[in-house]
Amino acid sequence: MTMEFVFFQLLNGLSFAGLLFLVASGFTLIFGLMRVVNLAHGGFYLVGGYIGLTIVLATGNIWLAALGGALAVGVLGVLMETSLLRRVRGQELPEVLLTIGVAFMLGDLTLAFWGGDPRAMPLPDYLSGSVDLGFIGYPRFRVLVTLLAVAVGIALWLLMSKTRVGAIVRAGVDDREMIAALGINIRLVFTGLFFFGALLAGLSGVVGAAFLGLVPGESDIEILLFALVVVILGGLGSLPGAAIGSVIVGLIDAFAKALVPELAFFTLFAPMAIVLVLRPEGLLGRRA
Amino acid sequence: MLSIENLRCAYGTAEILRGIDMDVHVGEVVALLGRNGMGKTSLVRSVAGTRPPVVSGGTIRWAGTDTTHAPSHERARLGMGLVPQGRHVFSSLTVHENLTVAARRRQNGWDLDEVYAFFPRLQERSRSRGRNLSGGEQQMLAIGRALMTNPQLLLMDEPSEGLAPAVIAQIRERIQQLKGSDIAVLLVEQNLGLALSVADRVYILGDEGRVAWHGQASELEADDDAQQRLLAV
Repeated sequence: MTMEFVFFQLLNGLSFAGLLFLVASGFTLIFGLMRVVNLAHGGFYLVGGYIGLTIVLATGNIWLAALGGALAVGVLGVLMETSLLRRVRGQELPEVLLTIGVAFMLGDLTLAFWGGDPRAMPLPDYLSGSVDLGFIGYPRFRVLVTLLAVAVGIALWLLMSKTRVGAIVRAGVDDREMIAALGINIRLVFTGLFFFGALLAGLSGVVGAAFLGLVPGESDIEILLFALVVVILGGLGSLPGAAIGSVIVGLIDAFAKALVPELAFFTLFAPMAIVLVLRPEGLLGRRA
Repeated sequence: MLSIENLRCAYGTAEILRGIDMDVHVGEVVALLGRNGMGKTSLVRSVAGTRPPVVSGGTIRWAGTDTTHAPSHERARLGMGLVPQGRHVFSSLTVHENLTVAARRRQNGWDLDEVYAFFPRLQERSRSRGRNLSGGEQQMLAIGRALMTNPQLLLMDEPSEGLAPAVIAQIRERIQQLKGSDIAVLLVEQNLGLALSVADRVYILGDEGRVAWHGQASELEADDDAQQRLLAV
């Protein structure tokens, strides 16, 4: 193992962690307040990716694609929350089954609209190519994804810890009934948070379309599994947990795929199983 | 004015209140007494709109509005402030955040400075998280948090529960200070001494889910029979 190899896999792991954090942060925010495990989050990601791809093919503008993919999926999230999830609020099994159903529907719909061929997001010149990091070159886009994830992470942290909206959400996580009794319309907060979580899924789908490519019925399930492992490792509902989980899963994935590719699933799920046994609430999670 | 007429409420199929009539006027403290399990907390929750229980009959009118089936956040916006049993402070929020998270301003009303002056201990602990407070501090915070919404009706459910005598004395003083301002207080208590020392009028719930006694606090103080029959354990 040369230093270059280690360094290269380290960067692979960290950049993938960036994408994972973008996906997992929305997932964990929604769970934290609403206690809904939204298994359609991978479907949101996929739809965001395809909408972004369509916008890029039509306009050539990747920023417009990111904005469009994120907003469209945010609206999709609001539709799902207000028309479906609200009817089964607090009933865990119907909630989970509903989100699985939506996940499959979104997978099928993307297949019908965009076809079954793997697609990749074309990147403009200034985002592709590689940057010189001293002793190795590394794809510029992947470096930018890592930076984007750090920026989103800091923004989310500031939003949650420094603003009144963030305080309302945290108070809702602590005690929903009480925050409602103080005059906050918690249903509106739920819908707003679902919009925001779905928006992050849509944005990460556009990023993922350029990062991993899009395969209907596959990318959505794969990214959902990764997101689940990330948040279970880090602690469901915890934003710092999602950050740490993303880095752990990203690094494990990079090194395992390079060193023992035949064990990629084992190396992904074994740490999750160990954490579940030793610390069921996750590394930074709170005991229920 | 809070006006409750023939209120019935139930947990599932079990009816706990079977026709309650009660009034609370602005400027007075009304104590709601009764043995455990008579439905005191159910009544407060029905007024505040937190479920369960589900209101199965009767009406709750507040400030001229029928709020019987309004969601709890709308009742809060109409001027109800809840200090719930068990305090329910937001455990991961700081004292400062607990006070400001749902605050609503009113001219010449409560603000952060006034609440800190009311409970100086809260100012000392303003950066502590709710979960790290003592029981007494949590109770002060729950009261301060409700005052920050500038309520005209304060619903207090067993504020003395589990507190040391010195802290109860302070809470009593504060409730007396609230009395006579433009606020109505409905106080649920197990502590008869506290209730009689602050209340103008008293309602006692009996075991049929109805009001078994009501009158002036001074009348109850003199009525040993009612105290024995309805409150002694």
